[in-house]
Amino acid sequence: MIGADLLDRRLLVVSGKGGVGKTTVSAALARAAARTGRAVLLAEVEGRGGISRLLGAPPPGFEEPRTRLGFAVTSITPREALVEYLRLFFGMRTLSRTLARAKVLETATEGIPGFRDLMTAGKLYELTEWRRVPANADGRRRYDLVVVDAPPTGQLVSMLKAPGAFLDILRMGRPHRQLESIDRMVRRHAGIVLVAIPEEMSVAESLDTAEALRAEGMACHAVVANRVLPSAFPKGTRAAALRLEPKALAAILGEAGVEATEEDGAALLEAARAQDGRARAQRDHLAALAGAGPVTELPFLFTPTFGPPEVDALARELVP
Amino acid sequence: MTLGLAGRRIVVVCGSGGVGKTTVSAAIATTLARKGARTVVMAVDPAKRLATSLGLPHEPGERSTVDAGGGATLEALLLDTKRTFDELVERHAGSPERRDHILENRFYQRIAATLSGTYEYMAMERLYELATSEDWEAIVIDTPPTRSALSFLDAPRRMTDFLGGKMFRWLAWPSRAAGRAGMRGASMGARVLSRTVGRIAGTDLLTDTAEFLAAFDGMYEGFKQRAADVYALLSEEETGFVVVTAPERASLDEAGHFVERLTSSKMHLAGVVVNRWVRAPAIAAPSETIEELAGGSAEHRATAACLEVAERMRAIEARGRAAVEPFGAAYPEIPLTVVPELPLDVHDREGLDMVAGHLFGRAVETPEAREAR
Repeated sequence: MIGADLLDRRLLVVSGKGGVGKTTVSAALARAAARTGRAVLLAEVEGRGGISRLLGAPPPGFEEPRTRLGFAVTSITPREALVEYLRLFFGMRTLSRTLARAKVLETATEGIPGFRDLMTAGKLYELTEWRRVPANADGRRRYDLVVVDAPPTGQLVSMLKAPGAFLDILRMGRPHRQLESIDRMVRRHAGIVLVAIPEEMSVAESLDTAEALRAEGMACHAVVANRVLPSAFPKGTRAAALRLEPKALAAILGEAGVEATEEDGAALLEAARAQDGRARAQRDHLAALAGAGPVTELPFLFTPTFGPPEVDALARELVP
Repeated sequence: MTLGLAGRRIVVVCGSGGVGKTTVSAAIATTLARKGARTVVMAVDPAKRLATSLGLPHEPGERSTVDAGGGATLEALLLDTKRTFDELVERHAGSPERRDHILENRFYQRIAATLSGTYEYMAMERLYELATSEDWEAIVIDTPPTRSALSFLDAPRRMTDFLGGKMFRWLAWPSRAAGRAGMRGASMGARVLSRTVGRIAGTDLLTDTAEFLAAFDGMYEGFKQRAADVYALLSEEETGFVVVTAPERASLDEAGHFVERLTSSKMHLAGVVVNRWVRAPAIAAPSETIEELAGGSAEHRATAACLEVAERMRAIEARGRAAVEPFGAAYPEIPLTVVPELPLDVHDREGLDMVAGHLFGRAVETPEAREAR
């Protein structure tokens, strides 16, 4: 179960090493918050369709369609964020349309260091803070919580730092004040969630990231340990399982009416012992992971498919 | 199917993050070294335990000699992005003044560290150097962990687009044009953009950029030529790409994009490795039988536990199969090499040898061992 106040924040930034299940955990957090009656948006940043693949829904684009898990989804791209920004704050309706078609915009967002991150942060500010002001709302949906499926940990700190970094460059005027607000939102109000799997590399990267966040005056508010294995051998069976010979196991199976060779017995024992070893190694990694922040464990789901029902099951683990 | 690397001197290992690229590249490198090739591997971010146990370097820029087993050794190095970029500037600067001017420029210092694609591009640059100015028979490159495997291939284009591209010139244009009257000659797009940038950012942003651009002028052609050479090297027959993927849809989709991109770029795919494949034991029992066993003696309960583990693995195997099948159907001609999930994280030579055994089908003998036999 996650900390009670985590879902009270307006913005949760979810990151982790590649391949640990960031998108799944982001969706589970969004689902958990939606179940409490909150209006929730799950935003994918520079995503490659992970959310739509997971939920079996069409790619959301820059729109904010609702999903059958009770939250809305969107996909933030720096290009569209920039066009929207120019339109909203500078009334550059025609210009933004012209720019949207120009290749130059692509090069700008690709080329200027930190620019993509800045545009993303700006869009998050629009979603979580700016549109909450009634005068700005203009029919936009208000959300109690925005959950961001953020880039991997390697890029997390630079993404969070981008608004502050541009403060040095844009030293005055309206953009400067906006940057200050965005920087404040990211640094003070966002909840940062690191997703890890209980393996060496992922744990090491989580610890490094938590440290890097601290060094920048930020914090990791929650760690979600994903894919935690159950113990292979329930209480009182482990010693017997380690003792058991393939032949004896095959005999027990035979008595129970399941025809099995000695090789079958060996394969079963090998598989179960390997999983026992993995589960035990995970306990050590989980202990180390606590150094990054308060850990919530999510079980490995042994299901032949992985989609909305599994997201819902994980959401119920996060908030029963 | 095993991985075929015949005729490849350069092996580029790529794939989306977290799929085990480092392990696969280390296993390939040790195998090639044991076959007798003078081998170098460029690691990017090896796990500490693996690095310590193999004797891989810990700091960027460092090199070390690694025991590949069976009396063979190989050289390992860690990429130092900033230094590689600095060296690139030095090579093309032409004069010490220009070199210093660029290296000291604030804008350069920022892009050298943060420009998207810098890391990937510098990995390629380093590869080019290893391939052309050092005498290696086998070069194995582990690619940086990127959101998308494709960004590795796009890096040179993005770098040269940025450094030589119109965008860059436009950005610098207002400060260069300052003092000059009128905007004649500037295209509509340039005018719009410079006005926008000026209005939003002020000219502050542009000063450093313009200075950098001025210093970079004239260097660009050499830089671009170099990028073209690197790209050409990647397209040669002697360079083979190994795409590593997890048995998951997201990862396989990514692998599919990469494979298509390689084909359209006329680069050579050496194979696709499906890593950490879960294979369940063949034996299965009805759930009533498992329940019955779970109520028996310690041995019976242990047997029930083993059967339950097998059931769980069967579900995951089915999930993996469902993810791999569409890939196999879409690319029937591409050989898939399956590496099963190993009992524990690969963190030493023994683990690497197991991975290598699955990649290449058998334990690889060293020439010495073969002679002794």
